[in-house]
Amino acid sequence: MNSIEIQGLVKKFTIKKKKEEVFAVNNISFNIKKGEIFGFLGPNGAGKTTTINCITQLSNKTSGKILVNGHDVEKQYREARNQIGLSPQDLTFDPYFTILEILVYQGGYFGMLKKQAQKRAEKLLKQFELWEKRKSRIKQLSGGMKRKLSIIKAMMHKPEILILDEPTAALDVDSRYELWEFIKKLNEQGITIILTTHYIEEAEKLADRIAIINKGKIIKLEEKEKIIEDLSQNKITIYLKEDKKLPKEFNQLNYDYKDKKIIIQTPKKDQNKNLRLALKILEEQKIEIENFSVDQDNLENIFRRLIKNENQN
Amino acid sequence: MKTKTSDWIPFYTLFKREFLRFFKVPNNTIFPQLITVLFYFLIFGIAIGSRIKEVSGVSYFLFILPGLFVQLLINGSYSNPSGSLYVARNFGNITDILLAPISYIQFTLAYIFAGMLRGFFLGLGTIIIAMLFINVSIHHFWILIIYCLLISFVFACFGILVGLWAETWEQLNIFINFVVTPLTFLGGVFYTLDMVSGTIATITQFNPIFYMINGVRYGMIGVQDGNIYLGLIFLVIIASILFMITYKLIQKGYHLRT
Ligand SMILES: Nc1ncnc2c1ncn2[C@@H]1O[C@H](COP(=O)(O)OP(=O)(O)OP(=O)(O)O)[C@@H](O)[C@H]1O
Ligand SMILES: [Mg+2]
Repeated sequence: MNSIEIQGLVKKFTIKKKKEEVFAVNNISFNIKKGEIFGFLGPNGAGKTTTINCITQLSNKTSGKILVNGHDVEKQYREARNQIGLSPQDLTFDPYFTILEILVYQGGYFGMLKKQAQKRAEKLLKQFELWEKRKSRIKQLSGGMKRKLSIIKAMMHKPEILILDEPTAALDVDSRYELWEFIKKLNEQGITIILTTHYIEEAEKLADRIAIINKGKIIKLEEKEKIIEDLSQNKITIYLKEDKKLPKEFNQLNYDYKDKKIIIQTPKKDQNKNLRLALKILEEQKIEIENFSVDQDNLENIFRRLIKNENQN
Repeated sequence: MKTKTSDWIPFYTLFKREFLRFFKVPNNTIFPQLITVLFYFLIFGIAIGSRIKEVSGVSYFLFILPGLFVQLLINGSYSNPSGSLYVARNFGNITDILLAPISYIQFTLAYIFAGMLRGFFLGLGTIIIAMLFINVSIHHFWILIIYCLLISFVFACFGILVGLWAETWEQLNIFINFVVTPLTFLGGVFYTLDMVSGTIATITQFNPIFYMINGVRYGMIGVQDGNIYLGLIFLVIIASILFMITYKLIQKGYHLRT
């Protein structure tokens, strides 16, 4: 079962003055499964927010088709919008009203009665430790508080799909950890979550699947474990007792040798094989080793290599 | 899948928000307009009016009341949606509405109705201020109501259109300053057709606002200077056309969705 289906999505911006065309999203297709946490990664300007805007209809797509829980975002826009809660990247709030009023209006826009909305707002404000601020104006909130309020706003009508566009930007360390816990808890209750972030660690911690978008194209979409499994370049470091010349057999490995230290780069799946090979060669040549270590790769490095490769091609 | 929520709560919420917003900033939206009207009454109605004999069988004060009433009716119904949409587009909080499950027709009507209500509110304020000085009795209630509804509807639509179109605060006010205000003054607020001649008379005769004021004046004090029903037909046509344009632009997301 898919929460969101995207087929052949194209979004073109035309800048009239310069007669310039930008393909912010260039023919992408993918599905987001019901109940998953979907990490949406990519460098600045890659097209993440634009894709989200097409899903929520803040942007009119140029072509393609988007279904939200089976509802076409254009033809059945009301049903589609009812499913989604969005905390956008650029925070905007109604300037005329207080925090609590803003939330009660938000509930009302999604069909909640005033009483219902007030109760819900109270619960969420307390949960995010903003209840004391309920009578404040937006101007009186700090950046992180605004971010939290934006997430509360998105949650008001208990959406089935929660889209968080860089939710942890501006959050302090504690708040970030709390938000991660909150996201996990929501997800356990069956809510589908779409998350964009530049903290790759965040995606690594939370996401079930990860899509990487670059220049309007999806360049990778896979289970997180599989991406890490397939694309990890682990680092084996071997420290030698003495500085000796390495035999030519070593050339079958991708290595670097300096100051009694051999550094071997290896795909994760060949890691054990390559380690054994290296040790065997050294033993045959009677080169004594002092110590060795293996460093696991992380998603951040993988991400950076992917984007670098992609931009070179 | 999420259960269907009431169709009308979102509409009602938006309408309420649009209407209440203007009570939040009364120094912008209520007091200046009413104070201006008070001065018109004091200067034209009392000071100068006392030197003018009756116009069309009524006191000059009573004669200018409908015109000033229409001016505020227009001002209120135009300013509410235009200002609100302009600010919401520039602050970005228009996204609240764009993300909500509100149909495009409800979106359009919520802005129109809230604008009309503000127009009526200011219009009523004008009458209440007038009642401090003179007796006001309504001559033809239904004609008055229908005219007021149509006038405020038309200018609420204009308000939405300009609120969507304007990129600067200046552009927002072009329409009211360069079209509406001059046409109101040339629409017989202070004079009847036979009191003027030449260019002013010609402009007045082709001025739509003249027929609006004329209709309201008939409804209010029973004095007419042109055909009431012709004015009504004209207003209905304008209102229908403007509504269609407004609705289509909102549906398309003109200057709303990127
Ligand atoms: N309204 C617009 N008009 C013109 N171009 C736009 C508009 N919005 C976005 N773009 C362009 O579309 C491309 C994608 O932008 P988008 O905001 O989707 O990137 P992003 O992946 O969200 O980046 P970031 O990580 O910086 O938020 C960029 O080249 C941007 O300049
Ligand atoms: Mg973005």
